[in-house]
Amino acid sequence: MTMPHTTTESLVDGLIEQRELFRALDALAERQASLVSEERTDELLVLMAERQAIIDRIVAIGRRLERPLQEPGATAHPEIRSLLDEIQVVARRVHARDDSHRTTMEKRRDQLSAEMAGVGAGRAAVAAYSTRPRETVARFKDTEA
Amino acid sequence: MSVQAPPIVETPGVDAAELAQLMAAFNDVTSRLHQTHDLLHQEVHRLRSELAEANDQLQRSRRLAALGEMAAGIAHEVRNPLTSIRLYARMLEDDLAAQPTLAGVATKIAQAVTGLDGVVGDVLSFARELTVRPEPVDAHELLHRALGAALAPESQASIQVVMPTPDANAPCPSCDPNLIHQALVNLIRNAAEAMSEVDDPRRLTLNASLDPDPDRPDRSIALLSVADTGPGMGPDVIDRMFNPFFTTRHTGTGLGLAIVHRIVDAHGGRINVHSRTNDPSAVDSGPRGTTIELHLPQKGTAATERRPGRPA
Repeated sequence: MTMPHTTTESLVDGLIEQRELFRALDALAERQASLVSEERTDELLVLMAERQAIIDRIVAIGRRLERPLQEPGATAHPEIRSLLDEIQVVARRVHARDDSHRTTMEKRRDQLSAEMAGVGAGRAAVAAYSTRPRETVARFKDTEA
Repeated sequence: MSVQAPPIVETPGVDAAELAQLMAAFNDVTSRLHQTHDLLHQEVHRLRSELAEANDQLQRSRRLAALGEMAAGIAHEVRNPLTSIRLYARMLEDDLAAQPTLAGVATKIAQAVTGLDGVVGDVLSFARELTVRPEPVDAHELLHRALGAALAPESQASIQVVMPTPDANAPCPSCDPNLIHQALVNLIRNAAEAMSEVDDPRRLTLNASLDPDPDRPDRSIALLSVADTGPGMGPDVIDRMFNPFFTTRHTGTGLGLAIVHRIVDAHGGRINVHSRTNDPSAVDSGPRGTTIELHLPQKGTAATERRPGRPA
């Protein structure tokens, strides 16, 4: 069973494009790692927006390729198989790095909470003074002390 | 981007199951990517806001620490000459006993110095590091001691005081008795001063109880409250009443309630303020006055925080 030549071509083109986009994500991960370790969150958000644009394109291509990939024999095509495998490898790397960066940030937040618990007094005081309590309950409710 | 692809030919060994697996993996790649990116994005936002908050807190506490150190330094420098001035004023009072007008001036100097000494004491209390030394305390006894220290007997006579009598059923929370004593004294003084602005009834209600903590079944809350029938406070005053140096009176440093807050904070507790004025436009109606509640968390349940040997 074979696919029309044009379908194969567009499938290969699409997968190559997707692979390149995954590689671009992979390349961003290095910058991402240093921004995470240096806690430069503003720049991280800019990087997140860059990633979002890439991911949107990956998803759009994925949707486009969904049908041709389901055609009989598509995944049996050696180049298509090889591209799919490559994408899987890069994607796994991207996921693993994302997970690791997320864990790093979660740990940092835990650490921050512990550090801030020691600061205590000022935080509770200022937080309590700055908010206006609701009329129906205590006018001043210092819930963070 | 274009790649010349050879026509697809059947590859032996690729069965339907493998094909399905490949397709599932392909679909999974994009959906997982979306997911991990969203999680990462959320985490960046959270970290960013927490870092910003932590930064603010650290700067605030550094400023407060610097302010505290400076205030403590000034207070120490001021206190020594004040002691001398008061001593000499008292000596003058004695020497001028035969000249009442002049002796009266010396008395006024001594009184003013006493007032200043109180201000310096407040600044030092606010600036000093608080270390909580908790121990089981008879809450009713604590209230009585604070009332005695806060109000002279003649002041107590002009106010109707309602409070529990020290008895075997008094709750016994764990707290630093000296610090909580200081907090209660400040609250009682404030309440009495507030009531001096109004006609009868002037009623001061002190109370203590141990209640279950609604958020933590393994804990209880010691609640100490001071209620007055003073003029009450508007929302603007309540929002700022614990700010250091905020006062609505002509005298005083505005540190009394800030000290109360520091003490409760050091105990890991919180403060609730309920207040009603005579404002007819107020949403909630009820008797005028202010109630300040100190909530001090306790490790055990309410039943275990009672004096040993007493029924819970």
